[in-house]
Amino acid sequence: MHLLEATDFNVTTTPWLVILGLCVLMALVRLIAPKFYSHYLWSGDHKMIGKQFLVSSLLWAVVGGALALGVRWQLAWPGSEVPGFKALFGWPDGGAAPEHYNIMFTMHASVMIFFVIIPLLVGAFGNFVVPLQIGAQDMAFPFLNALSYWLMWPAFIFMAFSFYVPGDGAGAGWTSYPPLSETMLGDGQTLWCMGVWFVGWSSICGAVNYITTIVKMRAKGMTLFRMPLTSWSILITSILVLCATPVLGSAVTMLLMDREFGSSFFVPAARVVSDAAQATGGGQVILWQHLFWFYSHPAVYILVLPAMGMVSDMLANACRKPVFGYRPMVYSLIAIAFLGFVVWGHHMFQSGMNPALGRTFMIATMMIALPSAVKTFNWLATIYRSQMQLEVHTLCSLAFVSMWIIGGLSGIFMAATPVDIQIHDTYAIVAHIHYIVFGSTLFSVFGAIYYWYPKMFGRTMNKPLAYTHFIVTFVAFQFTFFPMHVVGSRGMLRRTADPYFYGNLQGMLPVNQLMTVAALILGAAQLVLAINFFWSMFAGKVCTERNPWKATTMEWNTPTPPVGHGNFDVIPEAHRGPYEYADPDAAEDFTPQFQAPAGSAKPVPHAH
Amino acid sequence: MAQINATPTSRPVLLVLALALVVLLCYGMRVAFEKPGTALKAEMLASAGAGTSFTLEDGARIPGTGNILVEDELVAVQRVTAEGSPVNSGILLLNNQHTFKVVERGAAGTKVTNHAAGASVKEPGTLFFPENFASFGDEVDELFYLILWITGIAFILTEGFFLFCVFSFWAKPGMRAHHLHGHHTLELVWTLVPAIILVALALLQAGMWKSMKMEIPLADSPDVFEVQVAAQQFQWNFRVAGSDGKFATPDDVPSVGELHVPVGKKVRVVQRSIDVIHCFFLPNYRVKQDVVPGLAVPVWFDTSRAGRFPIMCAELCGLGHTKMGGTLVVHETADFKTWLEKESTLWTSENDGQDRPDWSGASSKIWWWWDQHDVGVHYQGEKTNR
Ligand code: HEM
Ligand SMILES: [Cu+2]
Ligand SMILES: [Cu+2]
Repeated sequence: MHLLEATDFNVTTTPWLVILGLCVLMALVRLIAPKFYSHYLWSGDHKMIGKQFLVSSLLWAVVGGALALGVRWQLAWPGSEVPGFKALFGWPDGGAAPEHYNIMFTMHASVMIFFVIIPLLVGAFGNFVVPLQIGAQDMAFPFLNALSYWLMWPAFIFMAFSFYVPGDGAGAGWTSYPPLSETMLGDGQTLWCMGVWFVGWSSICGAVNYITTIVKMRAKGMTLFRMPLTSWSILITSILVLCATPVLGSAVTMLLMDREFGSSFFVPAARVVSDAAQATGGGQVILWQHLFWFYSHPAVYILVLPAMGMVSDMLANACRKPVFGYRPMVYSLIAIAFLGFVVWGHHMFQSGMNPALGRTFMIATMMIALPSAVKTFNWLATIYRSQMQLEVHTLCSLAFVSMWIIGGLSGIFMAATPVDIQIHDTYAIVAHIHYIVFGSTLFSVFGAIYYWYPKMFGRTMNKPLAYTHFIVTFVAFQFTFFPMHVVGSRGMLRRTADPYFYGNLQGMLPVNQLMTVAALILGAAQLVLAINFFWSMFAGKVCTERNPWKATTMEWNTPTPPVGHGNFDVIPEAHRGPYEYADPDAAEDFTPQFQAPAGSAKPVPHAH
Repeated sequence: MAQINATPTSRPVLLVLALALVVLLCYGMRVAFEKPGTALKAEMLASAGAGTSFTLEDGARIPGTGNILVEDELVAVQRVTAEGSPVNSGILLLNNQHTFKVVERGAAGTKVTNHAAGASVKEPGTLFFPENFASFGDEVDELFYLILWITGIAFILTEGFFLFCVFSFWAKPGMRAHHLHGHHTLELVWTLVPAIILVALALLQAGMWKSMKMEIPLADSPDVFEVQVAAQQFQWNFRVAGSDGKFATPDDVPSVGELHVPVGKKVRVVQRSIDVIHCFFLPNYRVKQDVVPGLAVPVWFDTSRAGRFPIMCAELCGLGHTKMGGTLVVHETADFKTWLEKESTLWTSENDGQDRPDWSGASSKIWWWWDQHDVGVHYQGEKTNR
């Protein structure tokens, strides 16, 4: 295999050696401290695996965030060194050279999508919350679950090493379009492919597990239409993952083969390399884009559906009111998932794909805005005439709803093919992405961390710190991303190290500096979250209450934190729908799913 | 756990904070957009008159092409070789010396060359998109503003209702929320209304897209002017037919970085790439099309006014991507004739189309390659007669 017998022995073997070393280390720990090993490392317990995903994703978010600030730094003060990057990545120019700029935005997106958002939503919260919410004792396949976490580690190692290989790191964008991604010298791009490949396996292991667990292991009385929306969204997301990820895996394998074994899936005929027309070729350049977006459009929904589910749960709790239109919420989730598979071409309107196809994709894309709109109206109706509690998860859910509106509306501009001609590959796209992935998804994650923290760690996070974090983040977010809509429509290109090379973009320097300053504040605010998160784990206020938020769903029927394997100390049973808040006939303003109807037998203690 | 309830007195405070945020955001953007990009100003530009050349020293930064604002005056500059011929591409590394020529300069606030790059900073009437010069562009812009209106209204209605809720429905002690699980009619209404709007939008634009990307004018019509674009890392190569009106003949006129076309024509562009994907972007003509190795995808636009306009590469193509700019030069008819005659004699006398020394100069092998590996005009998976 190329990686093992490469000429530059040290570089290409080191990641493998490190992975091997990790395995040896794990084996050693297993021998020396078996308890520690089976509790903290190879744990089959979904709660521990959820926490593992949570912590590693938050740590990677630091890397991804730093890279983003590097990108912003270049856009504000082009050609100057990014503080610290010389030392961090060993770049003599400190990130000022275009090739390093390309690595910064490529790895920013790759890390954020593959290592932060997907593992946070599906790996961390899916794992921790879903079995508890449906009243299961654990996931269906604990081994597969642990495997899905530890498969992330080879990916972590490959991606991390890709920065340090000689030649180019991975700098072809997170979309890695060939032929550029095939002509990149250096092993960074190869390592990127390996990393994505392992992430794919991890996702597939997870998806199989969630689907089986949700279909087969729901507690008595927990019919599908009594399932809270978090669990619904993870079910739908897992179906997306299961259908789409193999396509990404295949595409990446083909790319690897083109790079390393001389195949030519994506190599066109008569390409010129190093001043000579190549005899090889005959492949299709655009094939990659079809395969990639066939995964990655569903993937952008993977980045948001679980967040929608969590927000629905948190919003109902925060508003003390049933989620408005529970069934339409479920149906629109399903509609989004279904339509998500027929809109991939909207990323390829200008790609050289037959423009007649572009029209078809345009119509499908317009249609996918519909279920998104339905969800929005239902959230708004949930807030209407509610009794909102002032909590951090309230604020975060509200932020989700309002930012989601902006991100969804900007999607309509891009779906309109003639308008997309002007804004494709500009900062308007970057604005769209971030209003959804940061403004919506990350805010819901912030809320979810705060909301489920007591259940996870038996302590609560510090509230003043959490407010500070929320407010600074929310304000700085607007300044960082809103102006991008405007500079983008005026023609400022994305993925361009020095846009001011173009005379028509020069006037945009000051507004870019404004955005960068806001981004720096935004980054700094995340330190508050990090401090609060880790500090509260050890010193936060102890919470032993089972149901601190007076919530209705099943996870609040476990001890805080839940008992080891098995989760419940009572036999979980669902007696009603998930959102019975504000029933005027009930004793309290919430009637949990697990509360037996008056007059029925008391729940039997669970024999251990 | 104690549930802190927002007191009625804290609501105005929240409202004021939210308004302050909006005002601050608008103000910040206004200030930032009004400020000219002085940071890139090169000192030597201040004194250089039209036609003079100057060299930038190490580290000084200047755009490779287009206009620069020097103390409110627009100056058109162009990067040139030491001999004075234009260079529009190649990697402009920070620590190299480069020579520039001042093409033209104008008085404060005036446009130096007609509607050229850079002018858009202060153009009136274009809130978002740069000024448009293509005939189909007006329709595109109208569609853009229509969507802006529709989404703007949707935005105000939804966010307005949202803000109303956020300020009105904080918990009051002892009160319960409205117990309502859903509403059938409401669901129907807010599914159908957006559905109708979205379908209407979709139908509305289908024709527009067709005329922009599917009905490419054919070269045999007299009002059509055909050009060939060969993209390479990191340079735009252009070719127009000489006086015989045919390509692949010795009087063809190749150029690098500058695309010369006559005014008042439909310009049919056939583009190919020799290495990776590039993207041909004319912001002032609403044209953007990836240039894909292995395909020859056509696009078109029409020229209504003479002037110089930016050409940008919109698809990441490697480390020199950021400098892969060019200029579209639209000539008055007579000027174009003069230019073409001058250039075609230049090129025919210099070489006969056989002996092409390298890939990067204007006399490059690239056109030899183009003619050798003719793929016809086609999209992915389909040859087209367009
Ligand atoms: C209202 C529904 C939406 C519509 C109509 C829509 C439409 C589009 C279109 C047409 C593009 C391609 C633009 C271009 O490159 O020219 C795009 C890009 C993108 N969208 Fe959306 N979108 C919607 C919702 C979402 C959601 C929910 C997410 C993620 C959670 C999302 C994430 C993205 C991302 C990441 C890209 C950029 C990918 C890239 O080129 O790197 N969008 N969207
Ligand atoms: Cu998409
Ligand atoms: Cu490029």
